[in-house]
Amino acid sequence: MATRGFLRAAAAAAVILSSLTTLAVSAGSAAAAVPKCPLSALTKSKGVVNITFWESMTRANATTLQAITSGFNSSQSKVHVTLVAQASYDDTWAKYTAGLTNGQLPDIVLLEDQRTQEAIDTQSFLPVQSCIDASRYKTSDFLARPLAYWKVNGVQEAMPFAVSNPILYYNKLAFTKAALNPNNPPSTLPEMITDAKALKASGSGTGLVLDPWHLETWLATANQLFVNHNNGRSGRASAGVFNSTTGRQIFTELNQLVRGGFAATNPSSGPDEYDNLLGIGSGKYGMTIDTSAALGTISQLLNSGQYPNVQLGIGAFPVLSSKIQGGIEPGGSGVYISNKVPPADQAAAWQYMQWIDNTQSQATWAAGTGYIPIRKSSTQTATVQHLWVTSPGYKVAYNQLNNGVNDAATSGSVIGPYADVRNDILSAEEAMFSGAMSPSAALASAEKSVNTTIVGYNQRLGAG
Amino acid sequence: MAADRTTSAVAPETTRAAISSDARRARRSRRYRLTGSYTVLTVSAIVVVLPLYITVVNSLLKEDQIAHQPPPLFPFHPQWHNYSIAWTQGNLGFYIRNSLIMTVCIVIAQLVTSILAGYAFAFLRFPFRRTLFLVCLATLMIPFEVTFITNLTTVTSAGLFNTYAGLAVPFLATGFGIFLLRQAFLQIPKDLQEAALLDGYGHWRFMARVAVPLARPSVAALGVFAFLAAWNQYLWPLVATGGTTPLDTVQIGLKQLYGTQADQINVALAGAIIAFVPLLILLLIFQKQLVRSLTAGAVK
Repeated sequence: MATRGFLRAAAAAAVILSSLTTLAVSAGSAAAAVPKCPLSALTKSKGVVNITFWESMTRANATTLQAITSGFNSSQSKVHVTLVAQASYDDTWAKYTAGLTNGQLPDIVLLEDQRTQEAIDTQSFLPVQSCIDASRYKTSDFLARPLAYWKVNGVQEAMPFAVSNPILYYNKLAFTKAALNPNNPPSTLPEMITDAKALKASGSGTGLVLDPWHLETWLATANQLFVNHNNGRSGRASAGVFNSTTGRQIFTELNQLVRGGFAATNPSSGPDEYDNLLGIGSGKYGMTIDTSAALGTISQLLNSGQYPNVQLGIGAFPVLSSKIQGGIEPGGSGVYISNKVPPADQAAAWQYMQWIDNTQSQATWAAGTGYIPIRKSSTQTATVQHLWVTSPGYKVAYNQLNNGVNDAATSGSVIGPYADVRNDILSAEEAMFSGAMSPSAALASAEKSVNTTIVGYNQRLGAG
Repeated sequence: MAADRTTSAVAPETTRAAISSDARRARRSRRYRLTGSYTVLTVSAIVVVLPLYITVVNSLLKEDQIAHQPPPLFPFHPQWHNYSIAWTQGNLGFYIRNSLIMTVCIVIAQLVTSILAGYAFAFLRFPFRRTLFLVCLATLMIPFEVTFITNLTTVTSAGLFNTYAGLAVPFLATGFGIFLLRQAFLQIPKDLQEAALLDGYGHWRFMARVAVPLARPSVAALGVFAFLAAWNQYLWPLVATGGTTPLDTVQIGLKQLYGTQADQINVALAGAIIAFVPLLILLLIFQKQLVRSLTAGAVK
């Protein structure tokens, strides 16, 4: 039922996208002049300004967001924020794009990382850069890469809010059994293959969830671009640039891991999406890679006492090579201000955004959800310090995002049809893992279909 | 006759033996055929029922039992409270009420419009009848996704955004329903209509007393199909509701429940079963009519 719903939503999004083709798009202009942030509208307005925020947080995350929002509402009397829960990021997007036609839009919306270019292309958001400039808001305390993730052509389009990245989950007991050092998880992909062999020989194994961002993430760790025009940050991305020596190395090593029988794969959606993580619990797998956002749930389950044969260890994402300095790209979601709502609402939205991204809110957010605090000062709070002592795994995810090189290659990509591009990569990966294609053939075919996908989107938009 | 009798008199044993062996062979082959078809039917039934069964079982398991290998095939300690958690945390009562109101409006309206239009196309003579009927059929070729943006702006400008009326209004008439009932009405012999006219029946009375009762299987089938389609809608209720208290329907509520209970799949599955119950009741009531309408015409 859910899949069908998603497909319909996707179909709807496709229809809406094609209806956007009539919009004129300025492609590739550097640091375009941003519209004015209507700060004065809020000071001039009388009475309470009520604004709505569309989000799709679940369980503990939803509770924490509500607590932070209630804190904002009671901290002042000018602005009142109402959270409107949507079923998922995809539903939020379907509803938002539909709302563009009938004006039923929120003041603030939380959108998934891969929507950045699509969001810009709707021309319905006020770049937060305007408000940063207008209120002389300081961003120096923010982690560089999460901030850079939502910055395109030098303009901060949205504020980072719920940020995560992939980490290594492993079972220390399985490592000991395989005569591996339980306190020294693999730090590179080649080391991961060596350890996977040892785990396999000792009766456990390695789980690899077929997440479509593998290639991008490993490229970033080697400081390599994924698409042209500086990953779409200095101009609209029009082609992939990953069919390179580095790209081939990534595909060859992943292929070695899977075709060699040292890692078992499972899909990243549908009923089997958690098999790699559940495998850690059942003892089937000794290690796997997954988002840091899952850490809270995993620790909770493992601490319930039902898994006596597991002692969870957390390692940094195994980079491509220890010789190259790159960085882990951030993932997650950012908050956007709609420009289709009254000026006072836009200014109120900016005021609320500053609250949810302030030092204490980000600390509370990190402790309540497992997302990464995106401010350096948040890590100095008692809240985060306590969190890191009790669950050191969270610190790993923060550190690897704070460390490394900060440039276009490590800040993630901005691509119009991002989800489709990732599907192209995944199809090629699957063809490779099934033995139908060699790593270099799979990579070449991936780049070819990625190029077709991107060019198709840009042409539909009139920006080709 | 005589020759026959002679023959049978000559070799009665052989004949009887032949007959009985023939009968035995026939019986045996019939038994084989029956066994065969029952095997096929049983396997098919298992294929169809198993996912449903597993859903029910999993909805009654404890959280940690679901990931258990091998998967439990029977809930020895059924966790009935999964259902109450789904009902209360998922706010399913509210969603099911919204779905029921929307669905019942759509079903009644579709039956009324389809009966009236189908009757007109089958029994009345008027200019451009063929063309109009083709236009009705043509609407079947346009997927809803193509028209929903226009529908959305229309519904919003009519002030029906986030109302039950707005949820139902694009689905009050369907080309499919009109087509289905027109075909059903065409099966009714012309003589019957003439006889009714002679008895002083006007169109309204003929339609209500004769045509609709005769087309009952088709009417029931249309009702059930309309109910299924409306109940399972996703996209329209998603975009046509909003504000701070959206009138979300049960399918959206389920997705929300699945999202909020991502680590409690048992609860999400219990919610899915709850949302399925109204459909199950409907199918049980109308099963006979449905099957009859599907096989109608098969033996004519």
